[in-house]
Amino acid sequence: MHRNRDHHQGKDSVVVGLKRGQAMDLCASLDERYVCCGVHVLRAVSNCPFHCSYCFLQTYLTDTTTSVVGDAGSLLAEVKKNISAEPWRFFRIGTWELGDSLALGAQRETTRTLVRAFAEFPNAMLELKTKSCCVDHLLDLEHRGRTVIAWSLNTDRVIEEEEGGTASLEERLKALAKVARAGYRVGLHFDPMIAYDGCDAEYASVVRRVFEVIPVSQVVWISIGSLRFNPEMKRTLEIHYPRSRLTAAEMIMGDDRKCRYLRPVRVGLYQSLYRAIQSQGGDQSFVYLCMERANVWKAVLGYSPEGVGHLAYLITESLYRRFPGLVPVLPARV
Amino acid sequence: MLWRPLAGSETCRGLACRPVTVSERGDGTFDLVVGFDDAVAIRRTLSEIDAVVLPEACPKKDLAEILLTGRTREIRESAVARACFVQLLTDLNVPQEDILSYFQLLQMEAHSSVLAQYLSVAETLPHRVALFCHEKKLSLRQCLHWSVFDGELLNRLFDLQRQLSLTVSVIDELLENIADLCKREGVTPAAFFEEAEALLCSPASAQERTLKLRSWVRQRRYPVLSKINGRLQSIRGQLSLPESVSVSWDPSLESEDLRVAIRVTEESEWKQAVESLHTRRAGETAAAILRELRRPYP
Repeated sequence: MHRNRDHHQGKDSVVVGLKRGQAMDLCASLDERYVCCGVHVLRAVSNCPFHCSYCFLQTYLTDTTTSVVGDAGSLLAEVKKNISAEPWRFFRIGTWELGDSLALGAQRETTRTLVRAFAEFPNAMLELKTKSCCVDHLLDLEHRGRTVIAWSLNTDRVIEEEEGGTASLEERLKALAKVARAGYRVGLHFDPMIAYDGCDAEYASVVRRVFEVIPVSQVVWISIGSLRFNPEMKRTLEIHYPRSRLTAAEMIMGDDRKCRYLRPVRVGLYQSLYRAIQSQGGDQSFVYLCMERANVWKAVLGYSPEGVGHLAYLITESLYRRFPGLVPVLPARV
Repeated sequence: MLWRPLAGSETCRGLACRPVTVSERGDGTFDLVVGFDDAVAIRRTLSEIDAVVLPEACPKKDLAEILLTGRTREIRESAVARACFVQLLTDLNVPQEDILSYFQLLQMEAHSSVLAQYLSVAETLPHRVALFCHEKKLSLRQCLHWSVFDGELLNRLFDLQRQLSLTVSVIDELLENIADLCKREGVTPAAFFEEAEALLCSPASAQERTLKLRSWVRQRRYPVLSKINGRLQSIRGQLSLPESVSVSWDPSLESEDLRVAIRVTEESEWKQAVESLHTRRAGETAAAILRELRRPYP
């Protein structure tokens, strides 16, 4: 089979194929010094039609051909096998690891099948994360609250300058309102936050606009993270997106060998966003940091999970408490 | 253009070793295939040069064969030499598959993407940078790495070869940092180097000037980090500790830990070290450093 190597070329067409190998796994961004939420991923799509300058797929994919798993049955068989092997565990499973969960027309049938199937799973929840506004095909489905539709959110400026081809913030918010009306629970991901002059006020404005269209009671979780990439990505980003200024920011190499903003800058960004979330009552939802150090957690949220397992537990505990019936039994902490 | 310095120097002795060979373009002009240096040397005294003229119909692959004759070792010698060979064949309209057929002989990976990389190096590296890469026999990867930088930046930096002590790693560091800060601050490399003029012309050795330039560039590239570390150093300066005690922190600021180390060889030093940390001033200074380490920015 022909392999595409060019990042942009791989986005030109979509191949619908069969599942190959293991599709379900733990999120790949697992590093003990940076706390991960322990979400599981289901590789139902590879590559994405959008052109986000900071996208790690630019250096991650060896074959950039956009592909979608067409046989939802085989994906579901793998999910069923895994979740039934650990019935005491509550699984959060996202289809966004290697692409956008909703952007491609070719993945709609698979997604619809997944949503319907997850409605019947007792100990799992599906997360569809997107930067698109393609939600109409989901509105009539019987989801029973077991699918979370989540948006990666950013300021108008970042969307315009760095997230080529994605839906505007306004379009994302309209889609958000639609799925909320259809009874879906939603997730909000302020990630990657980008630091620039005046960004604090703009991120606060995004938060305000979000809570104008959805009630906090439907928000299952809010994650916060900032721009990070591996050193190899820097050059690739500069070649693919020469107008982007992201790599010129002041960054250090973290212990996980990823370039990130300086910790005091990250803390400043997160604290400001968290205050905005609190001011809208958003902290009633479960707010967490994505791939951050314990000291940053403490500075922003006042505590730090003891590790991946603990954060996963805290999220499940929050779901159990806030959405009765969703998590059958509160897992015990080990 | 890059071919010239790669050619053999023996031709400067006034004797053409091989006939100058040109290929007809069909419009009355010619491509010089072999003998650039010969042609230049001879033209210093003669207005006309005898040359072997290959007809326009001459198979392009034959041109490549002529070019390669006796030069295989020279072309293999560096990535830049290989890049020049690829560029020359491309300029002569030698088909890509014919060019690729020589790659194995020249110890290159015969893939069109590799050919494109060599072409990119030949087309984008400024002349003096290419010469440097050739002299240092830098790899294709390194040449490619530099080829993506702005030509003006490369030229300006390599202009300073006599004023600075430039090794490959120092060049890498300076290019990366200057490119980033020019992008961030919206200034041109020319404007940047104008600002650095006083430093570059200072009466110091090349090594000292290089050290100063690197430090100055780093401070501009990492202003917040420099500012916070500067404040921390200033607070630490208030401590009067014996030499056996050192106070440090993670200069990248990822960790908030304050590290205090005691290094002793005599028992008496231990007592002195411990007592020096037991003072009110030491405690207050440590607290001030920790506060500074925890402070969000801005």
